Amino acid sequence: MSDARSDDRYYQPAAETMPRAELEALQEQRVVELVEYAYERSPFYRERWDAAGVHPRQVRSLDDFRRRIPFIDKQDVQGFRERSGDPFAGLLCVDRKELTSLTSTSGTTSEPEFFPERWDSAHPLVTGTARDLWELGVRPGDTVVVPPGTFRGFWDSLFQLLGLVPLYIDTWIGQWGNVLDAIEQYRPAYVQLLYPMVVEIERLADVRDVRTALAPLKAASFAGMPLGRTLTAKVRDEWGVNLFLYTSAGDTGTAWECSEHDGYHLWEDMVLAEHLDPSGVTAVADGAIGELVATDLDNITAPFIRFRSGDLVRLTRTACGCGRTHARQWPVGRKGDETVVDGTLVGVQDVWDALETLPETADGIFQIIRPTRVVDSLRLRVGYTPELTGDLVDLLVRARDVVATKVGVTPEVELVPAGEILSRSASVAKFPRLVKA
Amino acid sequence: MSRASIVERARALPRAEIAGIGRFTVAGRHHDFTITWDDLKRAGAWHRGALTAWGFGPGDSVLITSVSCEGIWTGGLAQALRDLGVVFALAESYSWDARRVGTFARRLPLAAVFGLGRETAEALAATASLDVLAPVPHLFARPDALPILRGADLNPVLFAPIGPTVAVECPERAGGHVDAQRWSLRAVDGQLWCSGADGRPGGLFEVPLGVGGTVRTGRCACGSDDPRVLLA
Repeated sequence: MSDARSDDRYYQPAAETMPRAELEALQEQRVVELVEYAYERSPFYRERWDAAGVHPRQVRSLDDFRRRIPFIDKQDVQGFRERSGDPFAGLLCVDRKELTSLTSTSGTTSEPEFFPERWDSAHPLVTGTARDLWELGVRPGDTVVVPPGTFRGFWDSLFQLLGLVPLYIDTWIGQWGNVLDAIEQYRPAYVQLLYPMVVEIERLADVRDVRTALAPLKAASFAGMPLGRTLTAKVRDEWGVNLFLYTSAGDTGTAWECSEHDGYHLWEDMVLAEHLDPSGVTAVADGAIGELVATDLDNITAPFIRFRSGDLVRLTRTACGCGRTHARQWPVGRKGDETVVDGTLVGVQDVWDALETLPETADGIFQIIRPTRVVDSLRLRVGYTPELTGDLVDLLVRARDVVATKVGVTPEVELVPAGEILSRSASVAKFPRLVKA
Repeated sequence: MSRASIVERARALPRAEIAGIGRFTVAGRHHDFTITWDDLKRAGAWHRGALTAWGFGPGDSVLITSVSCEGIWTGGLAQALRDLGVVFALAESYSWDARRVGTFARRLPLAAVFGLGRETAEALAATASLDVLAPVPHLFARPDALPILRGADLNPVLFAPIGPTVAVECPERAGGHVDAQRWSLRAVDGQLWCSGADGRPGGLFEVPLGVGGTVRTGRCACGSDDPRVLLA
């Protein structure tokens, strides 16, 4: 992959705008090599593929791969780990001594699972974002704020590699008055936002001019959980921040928006993204909702192969307005997130859409309380903004009404200060939308 | 492969003049300082020496608990671990991430945890048990975690991020060593003050660290000439 072209829009022009036929040929080559490689080295895949009667010599093409290689999911990985006692669940394809680092999943819904890594310059997940950061407009010589969160890797080594100057300031919850001061002082090009930070800046906007404070930024990124329409518009339009959303690429990396803000790019030279019927094995139509099934094409340490991510996405392989040819996805939820209330399907987004219409709950901080997926009544824990809230009884009635109107089920609503839900967060990036109690 | 080509492309980009800008805060006042490329290299070398004194080497796995703005010390520590062939795992030092610390400690034969702080210790004690840390031979803990860990019959080693640097005990356990080539620490009326050791223009000079303690100079029995900080 030569990237000698000088088009400054792209970090790697040849790779990012590769014709689809070339991209698919590259995927085929990598998949065929990967299957043979993993079968020889991974106890997990050998066991599963032997059980399915599949041998690498039967996989010579993408079609073979799709037809023969079994799916895996998180439960399969956990099951192998528990059964074998191997902390790496049989996925490791290199000697443990060759590893550099171990990162792990967010652990929002279950115990964290490991990502064993081997690298020279920067963590693999972080390295995979270089094209995206370039698209955001950061360039050598720019100062960038080190993002909050370390459990998926340190970002500073990639920043340094890209000629950027990391600014090591505390950007955690409660620090954003200082962060805004630092942005005005050092004029960084980039900062990472998480949900609680956006909420905090929203509060600060009551007492200072955040649009001016954030003006030096070329861009900000946001990940972790959906931001919601109201807050996204506020960040982009009221605060004037060029905001780029990103999400997971089925636990093989990340997928970021480009400047078109029309979907999240999956780098298909790093991930084979299948887009399948959530309860079946067939591909769904381009643009329809399907489950992202991911295969690592650039990970010889502990690759996921046909990993059913549980992420429901719309996905298209049509070229983006930015000129990139790689697939784009739009996350719409998680498989199994719908709650069945007395026979009625209630989605997280439905509740969100309703609560966003009330000023006191517009931040969309709420949880659906459900001991099981099928329940008799809809119970909601709704976070409100104390500064905007007068009569709690009145808010309770209005919250109940807007949700009932939207979803067709009258909920039981428990109101709590929004900060209380955030403070219970078990992740740097997100809190669970579905809880048992 | 793709990530290798990303790194290759990056190597052709111009390097920034400095490696970063660090910050520490004392009594609400921020102190910012420049991190040069030499500083970064030096931090790796210094941590390598500290780790070698404890005998870490290839095949070991350790856990670093930190927050991202602590890159002023995690960068040097991570570089040293890589140089020594030690695998490092990562967790946040916030209380909400204590479960991750427990998961790593339970599933892996950890040789050490670095940066163990009060939030992690308290959360582990409240939600699971500090017993999960008992099999870990070396617990490099922040000062605010020491009494909690000792109260659970654990034997932590001092690992104290103070100001722009970090003080790390050697096996002699006679105070936390600080890199003398980079930082000059002294105690005034029982309070620690810090300056850059090289006197570089615009560098830190006589900054109070808001930490009580004394500084012991002279060669340590471990062979290091770095001064040792004894916290009050």
